[in-house]
Amino acid sequence: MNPPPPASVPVFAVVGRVNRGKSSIIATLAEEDSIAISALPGTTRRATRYDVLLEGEVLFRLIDTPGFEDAARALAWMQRTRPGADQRRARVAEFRQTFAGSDEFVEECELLGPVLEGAAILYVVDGSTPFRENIMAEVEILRWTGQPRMALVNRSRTGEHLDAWHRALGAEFSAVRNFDAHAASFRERLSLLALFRELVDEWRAPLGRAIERLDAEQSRRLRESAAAIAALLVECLTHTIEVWASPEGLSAAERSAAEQRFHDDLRELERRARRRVEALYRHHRVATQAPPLDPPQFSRDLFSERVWSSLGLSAGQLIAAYSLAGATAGGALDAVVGGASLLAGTAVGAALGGAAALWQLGSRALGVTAVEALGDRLRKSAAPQRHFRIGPHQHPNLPFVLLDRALLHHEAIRYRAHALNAVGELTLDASGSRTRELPVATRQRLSKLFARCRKSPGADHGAEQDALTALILDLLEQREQDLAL
Amino acid sequence: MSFALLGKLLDLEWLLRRDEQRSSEELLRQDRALLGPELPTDPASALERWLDGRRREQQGRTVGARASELLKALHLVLVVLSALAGMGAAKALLHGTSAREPTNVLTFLSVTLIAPLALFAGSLTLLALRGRLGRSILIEDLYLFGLSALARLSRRAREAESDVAGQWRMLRRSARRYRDLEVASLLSAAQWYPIAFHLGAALSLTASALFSDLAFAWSTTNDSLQPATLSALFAVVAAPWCATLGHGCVSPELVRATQFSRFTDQYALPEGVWLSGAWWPALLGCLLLYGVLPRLSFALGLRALVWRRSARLLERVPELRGRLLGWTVQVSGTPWQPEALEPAPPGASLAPPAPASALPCWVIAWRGAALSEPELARLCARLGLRPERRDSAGDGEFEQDEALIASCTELSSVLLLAEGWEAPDKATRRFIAALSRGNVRPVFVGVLLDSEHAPALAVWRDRLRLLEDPLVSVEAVVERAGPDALAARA
Repeated sequence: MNPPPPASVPVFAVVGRVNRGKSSIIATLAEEDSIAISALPGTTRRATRYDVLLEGEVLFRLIDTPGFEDAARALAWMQRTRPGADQRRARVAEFRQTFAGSDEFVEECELLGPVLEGAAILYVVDGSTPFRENIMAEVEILRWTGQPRMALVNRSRTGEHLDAWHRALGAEFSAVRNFDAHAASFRERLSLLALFRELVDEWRAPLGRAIERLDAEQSRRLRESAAAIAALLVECLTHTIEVWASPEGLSAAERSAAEQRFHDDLRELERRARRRVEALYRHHRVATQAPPLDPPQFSRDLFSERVWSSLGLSAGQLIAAYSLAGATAGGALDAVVGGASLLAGTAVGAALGGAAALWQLGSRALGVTAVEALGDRLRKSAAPQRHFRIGPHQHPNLPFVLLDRALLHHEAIRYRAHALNAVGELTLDASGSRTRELPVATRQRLSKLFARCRKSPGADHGAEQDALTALILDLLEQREQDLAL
Repeated sequence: MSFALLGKLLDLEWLLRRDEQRSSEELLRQDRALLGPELPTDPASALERWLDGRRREQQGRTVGARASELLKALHLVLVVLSALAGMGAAKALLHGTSAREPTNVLTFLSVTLIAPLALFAGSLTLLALRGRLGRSILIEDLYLFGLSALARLSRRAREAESDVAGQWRMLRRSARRYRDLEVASLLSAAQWYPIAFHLGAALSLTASALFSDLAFAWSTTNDSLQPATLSALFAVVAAPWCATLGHGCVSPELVRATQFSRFTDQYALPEGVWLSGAWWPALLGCLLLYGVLPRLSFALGLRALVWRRSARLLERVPELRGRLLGWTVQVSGTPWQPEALEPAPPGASLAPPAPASALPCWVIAWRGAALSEPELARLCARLGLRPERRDSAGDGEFEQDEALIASCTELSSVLLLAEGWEAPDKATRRFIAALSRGNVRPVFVGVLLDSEHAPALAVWRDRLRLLEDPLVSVEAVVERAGPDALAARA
């Protein structure tokens, strides 16, 4: 019996002993965090097909299979007739036919189904456990199927027995590769797909195309993440709320309540932007709050002291940025008078800019403006209440703190393996301030764009948002390159 | 229809806003259900299917559907009013139904054609000066005003749809991504009002010409406008229909003959009386060709632009595009849940009867498990066992294992050593059941663990409970990491 011809869609059956992380590998490869992954062995008991689609086109198919439960006995049954090399596949098929639907060898029949239908085999072992001879029964059965096969050593980052596994499986499989389902980056996943191409010649083209499309998809995600972050910044910097209060102004309690409401709005905007980024990367079950653990900075409350002290620009950087902006404006005046001012404009501008930064750094107060309709102004009536507008937030560091948190969150999401969500891993790993490392010119450009947004909260800031998107995309791409190195 | 697209945009943004309150998992499930088993490859059809599904969920009571309905009604009213305005203006200018009071051709054209054309040119200039279509325009505010008024008048407003105009305003502030479509759609729709105006005027002119005796003149107190100039002008203006149809030409004779009309019935030339009605086909041609046609072309051009751009609407909504067409995974087959493990029956305690004296014991290392001698001695002492025979099993040779079980029946207990990380699979359970020999021989399963609280212990206990054998017990064996133990494990 000859193996069936390969289908045009590459199909991979992920097989192995129970509890070796087959489902985790599928979750990460397919970016599917809804797969049931459990520490309990035997969680997967039916072959489940995962079609990886992009724009409706199936790029490749992964089949999660139940683990071998009784491979040695199954092999013994197959060996009973001592089939020759050319009859072994038929013997495996006969085995399946004999026991399918019975209570015996349920898992073996289930996992051999897709393999006998033409799927290539990805045999998963756990690199954190030592090699044991007994798995060779499984390996032998898979060899008898005659399908192309590759071995993946899971949990390779923590594995202590990788060499033993490679030595043991090297002779039995076309390739043996380390693949940590809980830590694999997108690049590692793509390189694994590239390796799959070598398994079946007919799948070289479709898998090559799949790799190209997935690569393009990842670039698209980067662009859209940049746009989402830019939109968040513009929304937060132009956000205002309106309240009614007595004509004398807001009392301390009213002011505090309004500030609370305003801050809650900003938190909500940030939460929405994060959901957008998570959805872009198909992370649907990310939990960042874990009471027993120390959450990363970007998971802490936006207005917590720790966040403001560790993220965003430092006080010195902010003063420098403001001084530079003031000096530029003053320099323009100097230029207008042809230098007759002896650079007094530059000096005064820098001093004023620095002083403004110092003054604003000391407070996180929100701007409160009375909003009067034209009719009200004309009537000058003694209305019982007046309308006040709160915001936009004037603290110079707010957009930098937001940007820092968004960049950290994006990084944690972009490089997160989906298997971590499925097993309920809680923490996201990313730390440090990105904005403090920015070149002065970039900080300057950001400051200018932020200032423009704040200046006219009601206006259309499409141009600023586009410019911010471009800047943030540069930052994300630069970070991508740094991490790749 | 442009308003259907506007309704779609409103609904799109409205639904996405609502989705923000829901979990990603929930959205994923819902999107998959809406798209059906066969995921569309075409972005437009994916969006259509999704939007239709979501609207069905809301029984069609969405902000967009309501806005679209109201805008269509508003549009219809405005078209009718414009047509009536055109008819009224023309009728007023045509001076009644007799030729006793000739209509000034220039005045008629100024009101029914030149003024609207000037407005058109002005709006085009403004649009060109402001650059992109995405900038706000007055027409949108007018529509919003009308929509708001209509919504208030409508008694059918339901909770979700009550503040349609408010919802639109809110979306305008946030949804920059549709601005060009929004503005182009409204501009395209707005062209139908001048078209209706021109057509109304044309209809009025034709009806008056056919059913009454109209007279025209073009006299002006400004002597600088000479018949020759006007004649040359109209020769150019009327050329399209004059050259093609041969009708509606404005001849120099007609111009000369209808120059003066300040004295009723006294034209400059006697034939003026006869010729004065001949202007109307030319005026009709002017209204249709220079009034209706440019507006119609502009409206259709905008519609085509909107149609082309809206075909790639999903590209503007990356979060939805990602949900509908991005990397998706279609799951077939039902993933099983872990086996529901029943609690052990009261009689089926896993603890074996405490031995009165040390039992002779058969120690089997399962699948390569190993324990150092001191550890083994400690374990046996704890369990009251005395090792008599040692073997290994589970190395992948089924027949050897069967033979091994058959080879030892005399020893009254078994200690099976297994690694905690090994799953107690069916092969293991079958082997243990065979060792127990039909529940007559106690089998102690020593699970080698790193700590007493390792989750693997619970897994072993749960799985071996499936055997329902009271003589099978699971013992945690926590190795002390001494050199012997490490050497034995290695």
